[in-house]
Amino acid sequence: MSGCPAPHAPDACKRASALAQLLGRELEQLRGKQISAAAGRTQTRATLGRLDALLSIGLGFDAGSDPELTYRRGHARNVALVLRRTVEAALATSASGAGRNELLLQAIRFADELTGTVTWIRHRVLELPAAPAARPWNSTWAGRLLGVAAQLLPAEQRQDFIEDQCGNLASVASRREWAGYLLGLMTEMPRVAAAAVVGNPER
Amino acid sequence: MPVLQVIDLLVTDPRRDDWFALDICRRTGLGSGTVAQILFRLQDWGWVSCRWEEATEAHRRGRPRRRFYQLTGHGAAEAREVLRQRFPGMARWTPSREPA
Repeated sequence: MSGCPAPHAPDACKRASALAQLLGRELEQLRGKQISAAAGRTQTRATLGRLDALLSIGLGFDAGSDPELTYRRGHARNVALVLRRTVEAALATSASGAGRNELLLQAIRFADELTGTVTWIRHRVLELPAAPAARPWNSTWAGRLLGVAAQLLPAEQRQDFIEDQCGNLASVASRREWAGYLLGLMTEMPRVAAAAVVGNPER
Repeated sequence: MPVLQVIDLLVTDPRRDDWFALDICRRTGLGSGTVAQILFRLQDWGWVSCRWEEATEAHRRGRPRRRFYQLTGHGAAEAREVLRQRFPGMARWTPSREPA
């Protein structure tokens, strides 16, 4: 298993799972006619909308080489799709009494399935190894040098420039290329700064 | 001339959306400072757009993110026109696909 969890994925999965459970209860209420059809429709659609939003965050992680996690994520997306379709069909004014009841039953089962799947995913995502922290690039030797040179740049561009260039420096093939790249930046820095200034008349 | 070298490189693959400074330096033989200036200028002209590399991917490789550049549709058209004017006699390829 070698993926990396998106920072908000476990929390979003937890909330999505709770919301899928809530949706199941709302559908039960609709089925038992404990609330009016109009009120139930509004409430259920709102819950579905929130559920979609949470799933898009909760399932947006890098599953790495975990085939089961990848499969279950696809399954959760499919179940969410079918759940929405079934709920919409049940809420349609054209649905007859018996047919509507059957659709609501199906939707309740899908909501249960989604709850279980997303809960499983959440636990698995929490087990994924955390992404190795990036080296503190602006405290490296090159980062410090670039930090001094970047004083020539507009303040709002400095950090981005240093990070970008440290990223390039970290990808060089040899020390020679590293030195050449860094030296090229340092010697040309006044011109780079001139080019970076928005509205520079030279441009 | 260095600007022409860079745009000549970028139009070889106008749909590519992950050009980065080091790669451009290697392919053109230009210095990093020169390429950095040119990329700032091309951005200012609206010829290239840029985005950050995925943080997850970069951090997994243990390095900071790089900025990725792509020719814009406007940039590709302008770049080809400039190259045509500067090198009228030169037979140039025409990429079949434009950036979105």
